Order: sequence, then structure tokens, then C-alpha cells
Amino acid sequence: MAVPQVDAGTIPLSPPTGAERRRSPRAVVGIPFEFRSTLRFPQGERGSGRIADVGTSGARIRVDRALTPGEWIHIGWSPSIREIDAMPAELRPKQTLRARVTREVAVRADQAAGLEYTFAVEFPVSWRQRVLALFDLAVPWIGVAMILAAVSNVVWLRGNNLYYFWYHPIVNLYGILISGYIISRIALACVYRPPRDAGICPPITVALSCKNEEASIGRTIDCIFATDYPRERMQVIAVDDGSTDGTWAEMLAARAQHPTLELIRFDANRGKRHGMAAAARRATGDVVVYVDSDSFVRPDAFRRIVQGFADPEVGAVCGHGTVENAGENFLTKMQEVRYYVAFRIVKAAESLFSTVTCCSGCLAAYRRSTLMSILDVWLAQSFLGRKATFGDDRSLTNFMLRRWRVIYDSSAICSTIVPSTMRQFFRQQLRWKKSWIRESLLASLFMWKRHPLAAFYFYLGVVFPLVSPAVVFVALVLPLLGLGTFSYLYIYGTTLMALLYGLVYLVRHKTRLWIYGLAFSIFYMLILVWQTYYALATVRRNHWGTR
Amino acid sequence: MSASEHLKSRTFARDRRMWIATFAFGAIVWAGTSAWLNRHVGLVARDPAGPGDDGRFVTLAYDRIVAMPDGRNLDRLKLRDQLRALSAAGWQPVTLDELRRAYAGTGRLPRKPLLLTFDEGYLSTYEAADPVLRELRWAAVMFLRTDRQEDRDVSFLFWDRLRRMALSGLWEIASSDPAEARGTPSSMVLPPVPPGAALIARRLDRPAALAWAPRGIEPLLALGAAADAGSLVRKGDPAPWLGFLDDPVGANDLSSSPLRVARLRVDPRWSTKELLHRVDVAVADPAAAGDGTWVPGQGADLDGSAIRLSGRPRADIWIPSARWVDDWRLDATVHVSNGEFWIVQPAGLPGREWRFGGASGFLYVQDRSDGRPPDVLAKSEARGAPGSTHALSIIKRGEGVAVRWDDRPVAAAPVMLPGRWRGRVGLVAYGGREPASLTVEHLRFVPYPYRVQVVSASPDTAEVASLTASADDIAALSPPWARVEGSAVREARFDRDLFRMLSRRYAWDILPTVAVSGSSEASGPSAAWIRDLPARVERERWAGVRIDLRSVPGGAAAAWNAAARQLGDALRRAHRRLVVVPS
Repeated sequence: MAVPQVDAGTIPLSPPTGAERRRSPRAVVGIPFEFRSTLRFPQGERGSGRIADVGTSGARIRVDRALTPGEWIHIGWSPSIREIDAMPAELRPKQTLRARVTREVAVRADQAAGLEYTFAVEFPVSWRQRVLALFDLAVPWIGVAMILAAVSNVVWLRGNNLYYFWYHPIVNLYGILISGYIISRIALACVYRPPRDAGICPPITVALSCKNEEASIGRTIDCIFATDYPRERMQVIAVDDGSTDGTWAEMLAARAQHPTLELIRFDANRGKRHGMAAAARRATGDVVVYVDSDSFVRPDAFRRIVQGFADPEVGAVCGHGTVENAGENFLTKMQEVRYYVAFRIVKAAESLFSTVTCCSGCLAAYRRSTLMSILDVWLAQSFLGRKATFGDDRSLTNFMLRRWRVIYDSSAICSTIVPSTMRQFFRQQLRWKKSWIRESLLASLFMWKRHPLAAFYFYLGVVFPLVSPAVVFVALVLPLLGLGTFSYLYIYGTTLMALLYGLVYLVRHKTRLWIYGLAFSIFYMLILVWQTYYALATVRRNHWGTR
Repeated sequence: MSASEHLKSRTFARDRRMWIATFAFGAIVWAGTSAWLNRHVGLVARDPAGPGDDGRFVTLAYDRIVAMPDGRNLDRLKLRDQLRALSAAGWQPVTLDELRRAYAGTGRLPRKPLLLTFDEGYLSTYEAADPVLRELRWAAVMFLRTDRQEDRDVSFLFWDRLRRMALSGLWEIASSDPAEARGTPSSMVLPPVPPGAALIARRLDRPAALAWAPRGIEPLLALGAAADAGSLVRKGDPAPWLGFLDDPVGANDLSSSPLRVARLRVDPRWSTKELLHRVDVAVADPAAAGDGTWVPGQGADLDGSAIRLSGRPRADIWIPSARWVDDWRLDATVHVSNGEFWIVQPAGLPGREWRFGGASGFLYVQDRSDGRPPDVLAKSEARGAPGSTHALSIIKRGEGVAVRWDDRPVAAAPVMLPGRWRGRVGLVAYGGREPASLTVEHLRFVPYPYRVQVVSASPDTAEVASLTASADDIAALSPPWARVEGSAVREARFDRDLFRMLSRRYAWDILPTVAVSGSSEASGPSAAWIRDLPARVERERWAGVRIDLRSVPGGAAAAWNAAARQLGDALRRAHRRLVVVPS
């Protein structure tokens, strides 16, 4: 990929503070460089770019791939004599530099200019930054060591379960299976690789259906049009599902900016499923990509997500979702780790057997021909005499799973806004649990036909959430009532498992958010676990919840 | 493709292949694991018993065995050393089933038989001992307290491993559960299976080993039976199960009660050499030279020719070989520093023993039973200041015991014991709340000849006087009683009242003489009469019978010797004596 030409004069930096300016006068340069990210462990992704401007404490870089704020990169350059003269004196003798990405800058302006990604980076000039740089190098290894220790401990505990199996067969079977389930998923996720780039670029239709999303719909559409997918091969359809706020106006404004945007408007709310179906009926692309109205796709997301369809047996591809508002509060931080686990571990492991059980609505692609064949049935789906009005993504995935391979592509990334209040969160979780119950029952009728490991994971994945509230009740609640012995071992085992998830997140992301994975596990064990039975009891109620 | 066809689920070829592979792999793993875990290990080849072997066997009781040394329990390597040493010394493993058959007379034990038992059913014991047993192919019995299994205590074996152990062919699983209900001696009926056996059989889905070893109490006492163990088993029937009790020696033979099989509890501190020594001396006859081997119990210290007993509340030391002789003599120099001292010989009855000893003041010969005040058979004032040294001599012959203290008899005549006592002899120091302290020197234990004095049918005063002059040495009187000649038997009268009186007064056994003559073996009436002889002896309460074959010509001697052997076996089983005067 060609390195974009520097046009520093038209691209504003994100505003540096006055102190930064005084400390580091910027020199406008255009030095090409190669870089290696330390984010991915153990081998970081490589890329190339140009230094737009540089000071003694930092620089603005343009690179050919997305970086994550907080990650460290190794920059290697070979500047010419003219370029050296333009550089600050402190940097001239250095052949390599370590730099930390601080923020992404001016996305829309850069994209509009047909450029790649632009980031601000800082150099480790202070002792604190140097220590941080060293720590950054050590963190993944520390994480790996901790993972190995945790896994060893789990294996030892489960060895005891096996050794003393017949003393308490049900308890021990539960312990062995749930640990095996979690650890093997992590192991499988380690060997997962996204679909290889087959170089295909089929016509696609990007569809989004929303109701009352005026705050985010404009940015969502902007991001879709900011992708690197060829415009002539990309149809974009937005459906307003009877919004009562300014969503339609936002859509119209977006169409003014992106004339090829096609709009559909329902006079009254009919449900997301109908919006998705309406878009599918109008779609002309071979692949229909659904994007949630509060999700923001990366520029290469569509180019990546279609690669999975090179396999003619693939019916759907699930993209990778991250949390857009991860830093907002405690709840969103917990969800950030949970999303990572749900996508990069659970779906990645399922993808090895082409049996991803839920293509999340934030970013999922379907082969249009297969989608159209089941569209009417899907639209008319009912459960226990009630029309199915939520869990559309899981439901559609289920229909696909019957006859097609469904995979996950971790390189097709979007970020999505997650609930930031407990009320919203609980309602969303309740909705998801209900759809999980419904679709799990339906999928259990045919999942045994798939790969044995996939079937094993699926059925265990159905049983465990149903059993775990009872286990928590027996292990923790009954002892508090004076019945039985309080199971510290259960708490320890659960914490260990949560720690494993958190550590995997730490190794991959190297942020402090990993600890929220542990917090989420405790939150789940104490609070969220009980929702399962409530969802079971109210599974026929169709209330959406977060709208 | 129609919409309905799109809704039909399908499977992929790769997934189908994986299912087949998974089933095949699972079946192989399951079958392999199951076969490996439940593999049968045959017993090591054993040498059969020779004609000289008399069925003596030793039973060892092990407590917890651990994998690595922990300073408290026996570890796996030490156990292996011990078993290897026992094997090298010629000891051979036997099973409970073989023992039961041997007791019933339907099977024979191998040469130098040894029964291994492990108590409590610790999981660690199995983990440590099982590989050793498999390596050496030795059999063992695991005694369980089944409540541990029922409570699923992870320190103890659970039924899955016990089933595997039973399938190995090396382990027999038996119970040491407490008795379910206590009976009374009069109403006591021996249960057909020991406590816990039914549960074990149900859980293991196979017959449980018919053995019982309640901890800390004799099986019959646990059942509430203080009566003679033999009376609980009908004559001629094999014991329904074997009962085990702890014993400082652990030696047994087939004439002892199968409900009171003695087990030597192996102390983890013992060296292999010490264990081997104890096992060897347990079955050894006492040496005629008097250097009988003593086995220390608790608080004993052997220092050259001196034995020091010291401990609180008691200390003891034992002569295992006393188990194999009815008549013996013990000489010693005794120095009691503190507490009581006793010479003890347990009976073949639960919790019962006779003993001689006492503290400063008085000396006693007592018949003692657990839970009851002792019966004083003889009492004597002890002379000498506390802490002084005394000469002790005890002669036990027949049913009587003659004790001399500082060369003076403790009783005017030998004391008659209320039963036929045979068993290990022990020296016990008892201090109560204070530590006991006793020193014994010049200790000598030798077999004593069983002297049968032939007397007339109705002894006169002079003859009785001559007998009483050597009352200590004479073990039995043998008046003429019957004459067997060919098929004819002729019984003669003798003064039974006088002999009964003499027997009680001087603790002499009565062994009427049966004189055999003629050139033919017993036949017809005489054969029947001889077959009935043990029962007749029992009815008459004689100690046995004396057979005089001196008048049997050489040609018939072999047949009469064989008949005498048979008669001897029968009488021995009834704890009676047969004295044969050879042709």
C-alpha cells in the first residue's frame, strides 16, 4: 500500500496544550518509516507510514493501519540528509524510536482527504515514560506467566475433580466440564486466525435499521462511507423504523453529504427485524452487511469481512465488536472486557468449527442469496405463540447455521456504544438472555450434526447458564442460611476463571481495563446470574427494553 | 432450493468424519482406560506347605501408609523394603479365602504363610501400597469403616477404587465397622456375615470378604459374646467369617479360634530387620536352651541380659514362642522399683488371662477377665522391702501352675487354672498414675516336660503321698482304664472321685490309659469306640487320654500310629491331650 503524501498544512493537529508546544516545537517533515506494534503479542503487526511533524517529545504519524491509543510502536527510519536537518537535534542520531500512541486525530478530515490513519504519538523522554515503555514490554510476558500459573492451578484443581470424581460425581463433572469449557476455548481462540485475504471484492449492501438514534446515526453513516470499500461496489441503505426524534433528519443530512445513501422510512415502528428485511429486499449486493445504528466501523471493516465469503459454504460472517464508550464508567469498562471475551475468545473458538452461534448486530455480513431464501420465515418467526421481536441477530444466525458455515472475522472491526446505566444494561441483558433461551432451544435441534467439539461447546453452553444459578445458590446462598458449607473453592475457581479471561485481555490490550474482567465475573456471580431464571420465566414477553 | 429446504439442517462431511473419529477415539480410550484400571493381577507363585508345616501363620496389620516419608507413617518405599525382606525370608502371602478354607479343613496354606492387612481404608494407603502389592503380586486385606465411604470423605477410599482393588485379585475388602447391636452371651448367635459386609457387598456388587476387625476391641466382645468363641460355631462347621484382633505377636495356627485371629500391628518406627525378627520369632518354638526371644511391647528396654520395663501407666514385654507350648518353666530375678509387676498369659478367650504378680505387700495368682474384678486363685504375702530383688520361678504344666517366690511356694500346692491356657507369655509392669519401673535379669523361659505319672486304679495313701511329694513336676495322672484288643474293648473301673479330688487339689490332669494289644488294628466295636473317644473325654472332663501301644506288635504299629495321629488331631481341636506310649 502506498504511503500517503504529507499535506500537513491542511490537517490540523488535535490541539496540544500550551506547555506541550513550549516544550516541543514541531518540525514539519515527511520521513517515511516502518513500524511494529507491540500491541499484538507475541508478534506485533507491522506497517508503514510517514512522520507528518515531529518534536522532541512526540510526533504526528500517518500509518497504513489502525492503531489503538495507549499502544506502543517501534519506529525504524532511514531519513535523508535533508530530512535529518529538519528533525530536532535530539532525534537525529536515533535509528529506531519507541513511541506511544496517544490519540487518533481528525478522522473525518483525513478520510475525506483520502488519507489513511493519523495518530499522535509521544516519545519516552521522561524517566516515567521510559519506565512505562519497559513495563509495556514486560506486561505481556507477565500476563503470559500469570495465565500459565492460573491454568496450572485450574488443571491441578480439575485434576482433583478427576481424582476424586466418584466421591461427588455431579459436582466434579460440573467442575471439570466448566473448566475444560473455558480453558479449551481460550486455547482454541489462541489458534484462531481470521479468514485469509482472498482478494475478493464482491458488491455489498450495507444496511442499518434504527429507531430514535439521532445522536449516533450520522456518525455511523459517516463511518460507513469512510471505509475503503470501493464506492461503486457498495450500496448503503438506512432504515428509519418509525423514529420519533430527529433520526430521519440526521439521515437526510447524511444523504446530503453522501448522495448514494438510500433511505427507507416506516411511518410507525415495526421492529428492527422488518427494517433489516426491507433493506435486504432492496439490496443489490451479493453480501448484505448489517451495522447497528450505534456502531462505527473501521475503514477496512467491509474489505475484511467479505473475505470470508470466498468459501462458498460460508453463509454469514461476524465482525469484531469493541466498546466505543469503554472509558465512560465502571459498567462500560466491565463490558469492554466482556465484549473482548465474547468476540475474541468465544466467537473465535466457535469460528474454528464454522459454528458461530450469534453474528452480533453491530457488524455482521450475510450472503444475500441465502438470506433471501429464509427471509420470510425469519420475519414470521414466533416462539411459544408470540411473535419474535428481539434477538434478531441470534435468530438470523440460527437460520444460517442450519445449512451454512458461520464464521467470525476478528480483523473486521467496529466499535459500538454499550449501555452506561444499570437500568439499560439489565434490560439489554434480559433481552439477550431471552433470545438466547429461545434460540438455544431451537439450535439444540440441529447443532449435534455439526463438529463434535462444536456440539459439545454448544450444549455445554446451553446447560451451564441454566445450571449456574442453582450452583451459586447451593454453594453460596444456602450456606448463608445455615444449610451446607460455604464453598470458598467455588469462589476461588470462579475467580480463577475470570482472572484467566482478564489476563488474556491484558496480554492483548495491555490496559488496566483487564481487572474489570474480574469485576464483571463477580458482578455476574452475585447479581447477573439470577437474571437467567427470570428470563426463563418471562421468555414470552416481547418488550425490547433499551429503546 | 425451496424455502423449506433452506430450513432443513444439514451436516458437513468433515463434521461427520469427526463424529466417527470421536466415537472411535472415545471407545478406544474408554476401553483402554477401563482395562488398565481394572486389570487383574495374579498372586505370586507360592511354595506349598511341606509335611512338617503345622499351619502357623502371621497376620500383619498396617495403619496408614503414605507415599513420601512424613515422620509419622510408614512410607511406600519402606513398605516395599519390608515386603521384599519378608519375601526373601520365605514368607508367602495368603488370602482370607485361603485362610477360611484352611480353618475349615478344606484347603492348605502355603509354607510360611503371612496375611497382610491394612486398616481404616485411607486413600493414601491404597496409593502407596497398591503399586507395591502389584509389583510383588502380594495379596492384602483392606479393612474399612464404611461410614467413611458413605460420608464421601476424600481422605479415605471410595467405592470406585475399592471395586477396582477387588477386581485386581490382590485386594480383599472387609469391614471394621462397629457392631450393629450388642447381644447377650446367652442369646448370642453369631451373625452369618460380619457387620458392614452386606453394605460392602452391595456397593462393590460382589461378595465381601468374610472378615471383621473392629478397632480397639475383640470381635466377640464387640458382639457381646464373652463365651468361648468356639461355642459360637457349631462343631464341624467352618467359621462363617474370620475375626481379627490386635496382638503384640500376631502369630496364629489353625487350632486357634478363627474368630480371634491375632494381628501384629506394625509400628512405623520399626526397621525392616526388626519387623522380620518379630515375624520370625512369632512362629518359632521356644528353645530348649532357654534363650527364648523376647519381643518388646511398650516401654521395654533390653540391655544385655537385663530387661528394664518403664512407662506410664504400663510397660510390657512378651515371649511369642509361649504360644506354641502348653508346659513351660520361667525363671527370673525380679527387681520392682515402682508399681506392680505381672506375669501374664492370655487365654484363648476374649479378654481373659491368668496372671501372677502384685505390688509390695501381697502376691496373687489371678484369673482376670475384662470388665470384672479378678478371681484370686492364690494369695501370698510378699516378703522383702520395696525395691529389693527376688527370685521367681513359675512352672506351668497341664492345667496347673506352680509359683515360687524367693524359692518359697506362693501356694501350698500348684494352682489349678480354670481353663486350658496357651498363648504368649508377657511381663507387665503397671504403675497406674506413677510410672512403672521393673528390672528383670537372668530371665529364662524353657519348655517343660509334660510328665504323666502312671498310677494304679485306686491309689492308696502311700502312693498318693509319693505323688504329692513331687506335685510341681507331675503334670498328669494316668490310671488304667480301657484295654483294646482287636475289635474288643474292655473298660476297667478306677477311683474317679479320688482322681477328681487329686486333680483339683494338685492341678493334675487326668489322662486315663488305654492299653492296646493284639496284632490287628481297631475294627468294628473298637474302631467306633476310638472314634467316640474325644467326645467321651469331653463328657468325662478329662484332660485327655494316654494310649499305650507297647503291646502292639511291629506289624500293626503303623496302623495304630495312624489312628493315634487322627485321634490326636481330634483331641487337639478340642484342646485335649493325647499322650502316646509308642510300641
